[in-house]
Amino acid sequence: MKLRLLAVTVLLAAAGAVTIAAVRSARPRVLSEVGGRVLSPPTGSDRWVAWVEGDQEESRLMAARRHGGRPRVALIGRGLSGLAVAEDSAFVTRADESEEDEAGASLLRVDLRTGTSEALARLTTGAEQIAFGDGWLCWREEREAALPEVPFVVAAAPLTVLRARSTNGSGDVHTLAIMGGRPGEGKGRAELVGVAEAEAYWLERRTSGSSETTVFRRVALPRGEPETLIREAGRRAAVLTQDALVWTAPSLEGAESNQFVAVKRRSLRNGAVKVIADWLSTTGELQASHDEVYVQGRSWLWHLGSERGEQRRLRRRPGRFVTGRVVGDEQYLVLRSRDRLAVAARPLTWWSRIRSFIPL
Amino acid sequence: MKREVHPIIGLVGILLALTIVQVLYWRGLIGEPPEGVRGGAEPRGGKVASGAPSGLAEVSVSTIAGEPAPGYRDGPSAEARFDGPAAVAVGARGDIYVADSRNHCVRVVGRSGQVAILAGAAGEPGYADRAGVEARFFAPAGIAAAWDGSLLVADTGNHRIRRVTLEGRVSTYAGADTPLDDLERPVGGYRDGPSAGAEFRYPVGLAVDENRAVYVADSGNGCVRVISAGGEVSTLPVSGEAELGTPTELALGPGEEIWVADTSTGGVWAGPREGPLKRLGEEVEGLAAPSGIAVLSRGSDEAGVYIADAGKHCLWQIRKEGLLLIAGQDDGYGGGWEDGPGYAAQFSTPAGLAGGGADELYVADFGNNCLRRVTLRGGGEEAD
Repeated sequence: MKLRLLAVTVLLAAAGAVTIAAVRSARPRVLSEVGGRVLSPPTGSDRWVAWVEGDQEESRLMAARRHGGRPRVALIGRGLSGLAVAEDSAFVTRADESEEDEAGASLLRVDLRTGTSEALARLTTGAEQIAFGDGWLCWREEREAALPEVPFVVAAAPLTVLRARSTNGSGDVHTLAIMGGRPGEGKGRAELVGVAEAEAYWLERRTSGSSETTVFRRVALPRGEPETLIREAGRRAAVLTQDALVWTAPSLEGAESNQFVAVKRRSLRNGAVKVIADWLSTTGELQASHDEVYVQGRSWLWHLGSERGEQRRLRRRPGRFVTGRVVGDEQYLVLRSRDRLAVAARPLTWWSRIRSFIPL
Repeated sequence: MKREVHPIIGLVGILLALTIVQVLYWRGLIGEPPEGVRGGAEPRGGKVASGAPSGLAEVSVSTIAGEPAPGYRDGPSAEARFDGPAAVAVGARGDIYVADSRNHCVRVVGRSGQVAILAGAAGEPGYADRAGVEARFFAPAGIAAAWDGSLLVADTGNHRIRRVTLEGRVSTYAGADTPLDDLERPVGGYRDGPSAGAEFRYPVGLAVDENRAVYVADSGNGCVRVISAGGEVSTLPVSGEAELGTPTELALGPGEEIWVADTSTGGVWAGPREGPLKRLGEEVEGLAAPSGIAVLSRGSDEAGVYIADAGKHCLWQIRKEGLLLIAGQDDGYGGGWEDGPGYAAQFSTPAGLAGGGADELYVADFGNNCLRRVTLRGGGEEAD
């Protein structure tokens, strides 16, 4: 009798522990507190997650193994920017330590296992974005205006430059596109979307009076002729999956085009375009991880399917949310905790919940 | 028999009367626009709208070619499109020439109102001394009529001064190759001496005198250069401790003087044509980013000096007692596109300015991608 009672107690305790663990595992698990600001939000590969924190003068590349690894400093430097992570490597630009105005930057590959780094290219300024794929590394540089106080001298206007080099650092640095900003315009006229099938994709924002148009373009690496794929009215965003360009477009059904957006998908193979979602809030951020597309909305994380109507809400946004990024089956979050920031991981699947208990 | 008016009808009548008075006032049909908003050496202007100084009622602004949507299209002026017109010049025959900077070419607006390309190819930057559409410019931002009817063009991105005949043949007037940056763009330089070997850095404004001397607002080098008739390039001296910031346009007055708009410091410089230049003081207090400058001559000694202010999106006249706002509003807002009397007209980053007779100005309205004409009815006021 006593034995049976003990067995039931143990069984109940085990069931309770599993239930509590199951509930707790769905919550964000803090990886580390952030020293300073988050300069590049978490991003990652199948094995690693990394982010840049600190300030411009002393920034730190932090890295942790996915599913339970402890974060550590992988690189310290001035003005680390444009983070991308591939397998066991992180690509990042580091500003020169010189105090001179002419100081440039270096594009580095950092081995996240050992913390060693190698320079792949010299840059005039730090890269705002880095993307990679098919053996190519592309980045976006923003050049300051030569005559910043003069708003109408086009030749001296700020420039956005897209460049590429092979990921092993061999061969020339190729200039893919130079976009002259309108004098007086700030940064962000163009954004690198990604690299797939040896082609680089980017978007350009063009203003005309008070209206704005987003133009999606691509170029075959390394020296192709840039090609315009799509034009959409308004300020749009895009991501690249392994087989499609996915972008936000004016809502097809939403009456208020400034409140709702649709999401379209263009196959990289045959160019077929279809709508995969509508009625999404314009405040959402389009993200991609492998072949999956997500929209991180004001309150929810949406997973979009390959067809319209397949979208589903995954998780409610935590209250202290600052920003987040889906990497594989986890969402890495920057959360505000009192007056400090913290980086946390939240599993999105049962398997990732279990794995978070078992560091591999 | 006493007839009573329903109170609602009475109220509606009063409101209607007030509305009519208000409309008449805003249309300028009643009352004189109050002048001298701030008085003294402070900027002055015409009608006060919402407490902000505005232009003058007797000044008229119209769009003669283009519209705010940027692009490239030749043809009738109403249908023509420009992209970043940065400078304008009036030719001897009355044709108007435009440095269409983002289209990398020189356009002409004929007296018939037809817009055509004179030299360069739309959207194809480069450097080539050839004829018509075979020639190449890189973001030209300055233009002036030369002594023989041809044009001098500040080929800003190539850091050179080019000469364009009215048939469209392009040659290099001054400026040499300069080192290339990592994007293979010339970075410009600074070197005086023979014109073929001289170096400029982002030259913008140009002016030509009767002795065939060419004055260049060398904006990147922060100075005014002079190309003599013999082809020798020199730098105009400045007096005092102040330094020129980013000169962008200059104009020659009838009294052998030169005027320079200095965009980055918000100043205006003047002096004899051989120098030294001296920075004006209180009379130009209130300018934000003087970008264009023109002198309208009225007789041998009289002149009106006018400024395009790219920072405040308006036009001023310089007077001894201070600035007079002649078109646009000094209201702190970002400009707009509106034709009409001076107090209602709006500009967006007006860049180049050129005189077209005793009482006409032409404005390269950069932000609106169009060409504007400003008529000073009654001749405006004259500089002392």
